[in-house]
Amino acid sequence: MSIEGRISVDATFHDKSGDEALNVVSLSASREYLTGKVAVVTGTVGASNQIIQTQPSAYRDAAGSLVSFNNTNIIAFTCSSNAILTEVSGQGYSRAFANTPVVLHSEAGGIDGFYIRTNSGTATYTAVMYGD
Amino acid sequence: MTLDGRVNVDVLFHDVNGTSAIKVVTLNNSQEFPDGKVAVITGTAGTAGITFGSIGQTTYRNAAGQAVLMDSVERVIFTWSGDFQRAIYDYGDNQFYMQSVGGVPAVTCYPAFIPAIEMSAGVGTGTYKIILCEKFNP
Repeated sequence: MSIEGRISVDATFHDKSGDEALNVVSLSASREYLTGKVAVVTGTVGASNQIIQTQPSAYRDAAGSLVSFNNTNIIAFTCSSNAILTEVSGQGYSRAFANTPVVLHSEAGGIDGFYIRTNSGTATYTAVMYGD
Repeated sequence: MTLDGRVNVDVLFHDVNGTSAIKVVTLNNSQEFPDGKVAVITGTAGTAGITFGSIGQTTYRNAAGQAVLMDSVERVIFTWSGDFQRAIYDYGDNQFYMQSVGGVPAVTCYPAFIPAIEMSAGVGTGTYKIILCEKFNP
């Protein structure tokens, strides 16, 4: 079974003062993915590190086949509270504010998965992983 | 001078095999920034790393020509056009480390500190863009 998808980031800022030159700051990119593997992981996490497994994993595709990643190149992550996302085997780490997603590129390919934890308390999270 | 802005993240994947149940995987969010400060850093880099320093003392100016000094940064967006991955990171407090390749942006949040930013050395050349946002209060 194959997949199709996209990851888009669009950031735009502009001045609101009408009597000065308008500065517009923008960064946008939309990339299509026509091959690869995708898994979504949802759950509850506390202040202790929890591992999102990527190799092997228990995730299954629509046909019921296991989705196990050789590399996990991108992970998009959101959490209901402030949280930290870290590559187990790499240097990549990122923070997410409540319900505001982050997009992290995995330098090490996420072969040992990712740690997640909150700053304090428990929260629910969603992580979408893309790789091969 | 005030500003208005938004940061959108939209992730969507679906199966293309029509013979089985279609799974749709999505994650999306649109965040408005009705106030605060924004700075953009752009340039071209070779194989050497670049030290941008602390963004608390910047030479960035707004449309009125006034210096944009930031008390804190809460959101960082980074893109690198090169074919080999390049990273930016906070070498001061070690609060984030994010990579980009081929123009695909990385997005992170930041717990209201003043980062000191470096870009890693790497293979090949490319252009980079870094957007720093202050006063992001979800």
